[in-house]
Amino acid sequence: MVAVKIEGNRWEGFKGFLRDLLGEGAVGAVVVPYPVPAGDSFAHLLVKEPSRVDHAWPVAPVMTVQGGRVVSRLTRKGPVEVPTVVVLRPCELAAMRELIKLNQVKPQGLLTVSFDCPGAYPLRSYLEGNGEEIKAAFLNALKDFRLAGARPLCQVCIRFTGAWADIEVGFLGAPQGSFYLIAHTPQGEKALEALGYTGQEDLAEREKAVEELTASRVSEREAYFREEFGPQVAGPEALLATFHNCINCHNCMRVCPICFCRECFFESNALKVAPHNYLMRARRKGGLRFMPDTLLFHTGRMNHMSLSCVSCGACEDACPNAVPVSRLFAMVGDRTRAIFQYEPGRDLEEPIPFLDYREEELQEWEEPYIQSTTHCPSSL
Amino acid sequence: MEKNKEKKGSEENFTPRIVYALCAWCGTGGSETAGAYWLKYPENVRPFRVMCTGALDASYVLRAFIEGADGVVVSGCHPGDCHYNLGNFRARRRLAVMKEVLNALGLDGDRLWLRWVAHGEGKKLVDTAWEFDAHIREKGPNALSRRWDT
Amino acid sequence: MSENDRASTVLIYGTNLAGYRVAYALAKMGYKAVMLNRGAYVDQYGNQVLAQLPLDFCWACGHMPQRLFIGLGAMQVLYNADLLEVSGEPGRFKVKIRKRDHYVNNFACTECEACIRACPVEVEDNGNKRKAIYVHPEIAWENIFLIDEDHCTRCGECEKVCPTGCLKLERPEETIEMEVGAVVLAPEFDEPTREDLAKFGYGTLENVVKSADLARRSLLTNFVKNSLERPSDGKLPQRVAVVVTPQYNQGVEYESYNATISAIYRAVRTKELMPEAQVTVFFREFRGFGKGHYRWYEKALELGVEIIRAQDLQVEEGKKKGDVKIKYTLGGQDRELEAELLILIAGQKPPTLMGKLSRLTGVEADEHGFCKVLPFACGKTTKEGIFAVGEFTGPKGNPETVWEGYGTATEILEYLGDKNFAPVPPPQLRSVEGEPVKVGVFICSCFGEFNQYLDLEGLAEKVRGLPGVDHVEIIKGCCTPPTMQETAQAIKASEVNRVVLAVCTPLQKLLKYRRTVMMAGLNPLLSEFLRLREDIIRVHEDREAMKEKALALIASGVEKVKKAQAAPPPTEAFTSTVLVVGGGAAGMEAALAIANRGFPVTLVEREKELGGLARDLQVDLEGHDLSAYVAWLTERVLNHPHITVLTDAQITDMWGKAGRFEAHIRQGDETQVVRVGIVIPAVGAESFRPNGAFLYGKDERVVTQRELELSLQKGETPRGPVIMIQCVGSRNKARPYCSRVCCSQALKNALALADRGVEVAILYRDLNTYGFKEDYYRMAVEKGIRFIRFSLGDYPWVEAGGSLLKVTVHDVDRNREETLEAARVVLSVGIVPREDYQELVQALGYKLDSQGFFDTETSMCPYEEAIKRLMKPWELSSNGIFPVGLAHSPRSLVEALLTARDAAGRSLTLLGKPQLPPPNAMYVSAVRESKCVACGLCVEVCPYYAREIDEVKGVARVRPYLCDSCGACLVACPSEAAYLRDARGEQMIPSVDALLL
Repeated sequence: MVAVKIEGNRWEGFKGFLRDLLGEGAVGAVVVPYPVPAGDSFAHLLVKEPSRVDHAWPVAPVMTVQGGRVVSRLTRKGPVEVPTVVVLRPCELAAMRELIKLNQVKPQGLLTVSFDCPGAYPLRSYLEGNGEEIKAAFLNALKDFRLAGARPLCQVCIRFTGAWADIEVGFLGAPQGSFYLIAHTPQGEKALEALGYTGQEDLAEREKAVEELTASRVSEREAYFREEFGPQVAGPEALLATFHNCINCHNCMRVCPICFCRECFFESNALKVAPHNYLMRARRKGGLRFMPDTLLFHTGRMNHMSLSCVSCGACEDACPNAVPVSRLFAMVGDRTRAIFQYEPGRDLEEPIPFLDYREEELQEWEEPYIQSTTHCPSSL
Repeated sequence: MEKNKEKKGSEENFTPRIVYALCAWCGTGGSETAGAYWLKYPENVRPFRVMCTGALDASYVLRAFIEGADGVVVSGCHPGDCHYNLGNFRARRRLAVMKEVLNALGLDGDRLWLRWVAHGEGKKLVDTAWEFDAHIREKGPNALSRRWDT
Repeated sequence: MSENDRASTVLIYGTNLAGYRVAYALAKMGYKAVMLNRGAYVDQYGNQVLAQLPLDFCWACGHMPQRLFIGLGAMQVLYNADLLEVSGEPGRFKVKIRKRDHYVNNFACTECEACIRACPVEVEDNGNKRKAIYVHPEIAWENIFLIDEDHCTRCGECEKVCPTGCLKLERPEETIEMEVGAVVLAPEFDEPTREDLAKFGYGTLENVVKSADLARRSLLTNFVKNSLERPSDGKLPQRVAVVVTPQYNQGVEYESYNATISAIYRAVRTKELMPEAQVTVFFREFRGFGKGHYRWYEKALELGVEIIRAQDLQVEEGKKKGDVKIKYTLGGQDRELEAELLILIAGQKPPTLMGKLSRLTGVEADEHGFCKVLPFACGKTTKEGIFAVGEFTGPKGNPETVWEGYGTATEILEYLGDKNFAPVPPPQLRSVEGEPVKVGVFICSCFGEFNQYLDLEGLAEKVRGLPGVDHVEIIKGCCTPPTMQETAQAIKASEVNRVVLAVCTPLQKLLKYRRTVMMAGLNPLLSEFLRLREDIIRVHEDREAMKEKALALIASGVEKVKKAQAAPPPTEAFTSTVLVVGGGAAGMEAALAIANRGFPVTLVEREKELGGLARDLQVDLEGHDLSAYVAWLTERVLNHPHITVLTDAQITDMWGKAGRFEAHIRQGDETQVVRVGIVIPAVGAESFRPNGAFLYGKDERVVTQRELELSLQKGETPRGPVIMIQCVGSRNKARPYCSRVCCSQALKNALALADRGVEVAILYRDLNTYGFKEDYYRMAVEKGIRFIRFSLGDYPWVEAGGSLLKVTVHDVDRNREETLEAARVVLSVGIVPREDYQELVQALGYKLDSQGFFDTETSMCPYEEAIKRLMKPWELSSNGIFPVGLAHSPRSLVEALLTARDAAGRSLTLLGKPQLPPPNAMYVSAVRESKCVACGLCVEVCPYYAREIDEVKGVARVRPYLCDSCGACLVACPSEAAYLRDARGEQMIPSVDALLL
């Protein structure tokens, strides 16, 4: 393992590292968030020219497009031909790794760089707020790791480090005015060595800091879903009230990195039924809301992909009507993943639970049968 | 059972709509054995046939809950005995997720049951139908199935 | 006899599982079989698999192929039948058969039960009331109507009311003659009688039951506590004992390979149900050498099951009323145990039919009274053209029985004339493309029967009101030839193009319904069947609620067919060549059996010579001359015109799926490409290397059995005593399986040493002398060979000291330590899979079992292999890869040859068919390419390797003949890119909606 401490301004240092990678020819391109020309938002940029990196925002205050989707688009038709750095938030990286398992990202030639993520602002509050002020506040958060006004899900994020990347950029536990570059894979080591970085920095302080923050986040997250958010949305009444604002635009699904389908089942002909069907259902229920199938869409998606949901919050950012989609998915996903102790993106060899089974498991989900005579009047 | 009925006086006229999802082999076979022995179960239990419990899509189950079912019970070949070798192992994982999604959302995953029934186990199938019917009667109607705003 | 003079039909006498398998194999190869059942229904004479399977739930669908093949016309079953005479010669026997058809012709019967209602005679049967005519539905896949001759008054009421005329009280006994190419003797196993089991208290003590009885009792409900209730007082026993009787009843019963695992399974299930109960299993040796059996043994121990390896055992009445006392000997001491319930795992007797069949056919009995079969052949008796299979030829395990079926078919082919069976081609179907959807609902009245339970007219009226229903009609039936014709006409006349048939059991009648729809010119994908009888009429009482439910089921079916789309069965080319990887005995045997039928085989061997491990074998325990057979086999293989032998050759690359594999084979500097339809991995296995353990490798006096054998062959004789240590590298945490062959090998070498005057002791854990090998164990004891049992946690210890080796062993039976001296210590090392075929495995995408053998995992149930899969009439479920020999599992050479014969049989059902349809015709899964993103989820979940990714197009692709339409892919696919042709989303969702009507 190679781990080095880089002295100097974290922000400039991070960019400098990316520029060096490109400039020294260790890689041929860099994908990194970049301010749009108008300056009021960010987009991922595929950078070939090293000097461009100077203007990049490797840690952007908002997540406009989920990086996992970006990498998927980049490599769907085949692996990149030149080694390419992709700078991803931890949740983006997890999504990308999940997409590797799903054959939607070809990882060959990619060098992933991720970092301690302070969180992101809700996209809307950023677009509507004072961009410069927010940017300044955000850069500050790289120092103390406190991002006031971050998205609620970011505030209870428990996978906030880049530990699954080839190269991790570590801020936590590093003395102020410094940060760590940690290679986790042979490719990462090779890249660091190409820049002349060798050695094995003592990371005990950092590990302690990460551990502490993780522990507090885990309990905060659990408490948030159990005590605060859960009661607001759980149960037929509350849940339907939560979805009343949903306009069935399905943006949440479209921006989701894990929803890789070309056509969602819940947009397919399966649900485009004949008029008499709507009438029949309206008769049963006393009426039928249009657009129909809101609850089916959301709960159906939860069944399809909550196991792989990386809690990135892209869906909630994309919702025009402030439905707390990402928190719903995170809350449900935490529970479904717990059944299999599965964590999306953790291990490329770990199969998605639906693709795997044990012959003896989950008996607690089966209904035991004690031959009953109470309910059954038939006798043999 | 009788006691429960008294306790829930207001639900006395409640006849639940129950969907019994059966695989085409043991599940269906179990119901055929029940038929061969003329074993009776409640009329409000309606079979829904899929090739394999592993072919029971979550969307069918959710659709049933949203569109009128008060309970869904699933039966198929015992583990290790799947007509397709391992469909029921996968089904068990799917079912666990379905139930947990419902639980997490406060929609009561206990309205969805999984119990293995072999071809010969007609009595077990019928017992299950009665037991599940009583179980759902006790729970009362599924709120979702009566909501227009789903 | 010239081929033209030979008959093509085969007579199968008896209904054991191997007999069924012969019939299935022949049907698939294009030959008809006539099966002779002495009884009136399928399991009247329990066959080994049904009666000894250690399971409580039924596996009735294992028997479904029979129905299918009868329906197709490939197989005919004669009931109440017997064989009277066999004359003629191999290839053209003339057989005389007596038979009496069922009173109720099962294939014309609708099972309406009108006859039962009409019957005026009530009979008391085991506390239940029934009529003199009754159904025998213990397993409801074939409900045969039987008439109780003792009580029937011949009043004729039943015959009068029978709507189809399938019931005839006059069913005279007939004698028929036919010509058959070969005769297969496949009678069922003989259970020990009450007298045979008297020493276990069976028949005298009420609370001594047979495991098979218990399984029967729990059949309808699975294994619940009720089935464990004591017969005497209905009490749930807290102390349960299980005894494997054949181990204590030698010379009377023989032990099938199922027995000890049955005992373990029974104990495990009992303990699971009643964890507080004390469960004790008695046997002398644990002989679970099948897949996963040792793991079940471990599970039993974990659950707290007590296992007592008693040397002898007797049962008498206990002190407390109803209790059973088991008096047994352990380590020379007498002990006893009281139990509240004793469950016997019984063995089997030599066949009582042996004498009779011997007289009729000329076959001979072996010294145990079972039918004698020739070594190095499959099912061949001493009488040419007459074959014997299954439990008739000796006690065995389920896989052996199953394999014998297909294996024997390969031998039988040599005696048959031209093929005489081909399925009837389907009727001409019309295209409905462009037509507006017109739905017709046809409600079956079962010849008016259903009217008694359900207001069909009222139902029809309601169905007419369903949206989109164009035509509703009540039909008489569609399961007898005339009614099928009538219904087809009705469908045609109504001019509908979507059909809902509200009928009865599709499990039995599905093919008839599909046929009816096809006779109307429609693709069956445009139809849906639902069960008025099984889902409504017979299981409910409230007529109004029944009508409502019927309407909902029909509405659901209507919604499903509205969106139905027709498509023909896709077919795909199948390459009729075979690649055998590995030129050991099993590989050569498979290659030869296939090549003998004229199909090209390529055999690849990495070494310079053929023969593999078998090259240095001479004789086995039974004295079969292995070396002569291997030499003969090698000779034949090398000179066979259809076998290409590539020695000193390596497979460098390989890909593909059933029907079209491509292998790159390098021989020297040249690489050739071979395209085949089937791959037979015969890569063998190797011996466990006990490096360092027991001083092996450190002291040259410590050798393996194989090394000992080679030195014995050279004429070397150890000077001084020999000690053998069994289970070296087997049945432990790392390799939790029995290697099956080491005990026989040890016995063989020990007997050879004893003959040369060498003193031998065998240190063992369980002596796996299964089948007739027990004889040699007795012989060994007589010759003074010592047997000392040790335990897993306390293996013997070998020390070098002095001129002799010192071996210390803890004798568990006698509970004492003993130190022995030995000139040689011989290790019985287990068989372990080879590690050097990983590349081949990966190339084939084959999923090995957890030990690394070429077999699928089945530890969930203690079957040796998933019995259903074996029973399936469908060879390709393993992707056209048929592992044989040691690559499959540890086996002796003779047993390895059997796996090879079975693989050859399976191959021969496929070869020579250039185009193969899917097993379920048009009902296959498919891909909507416009939606597919090639994520591969469907590929992963498919249990049959029926899906793959087309890398060029970037979409999934279905291999139709591998798809059994289970639907795993459609659930795995989060989009609708994967679908089943008859269960597309747009059919299923509205169908759920309508079901909730």
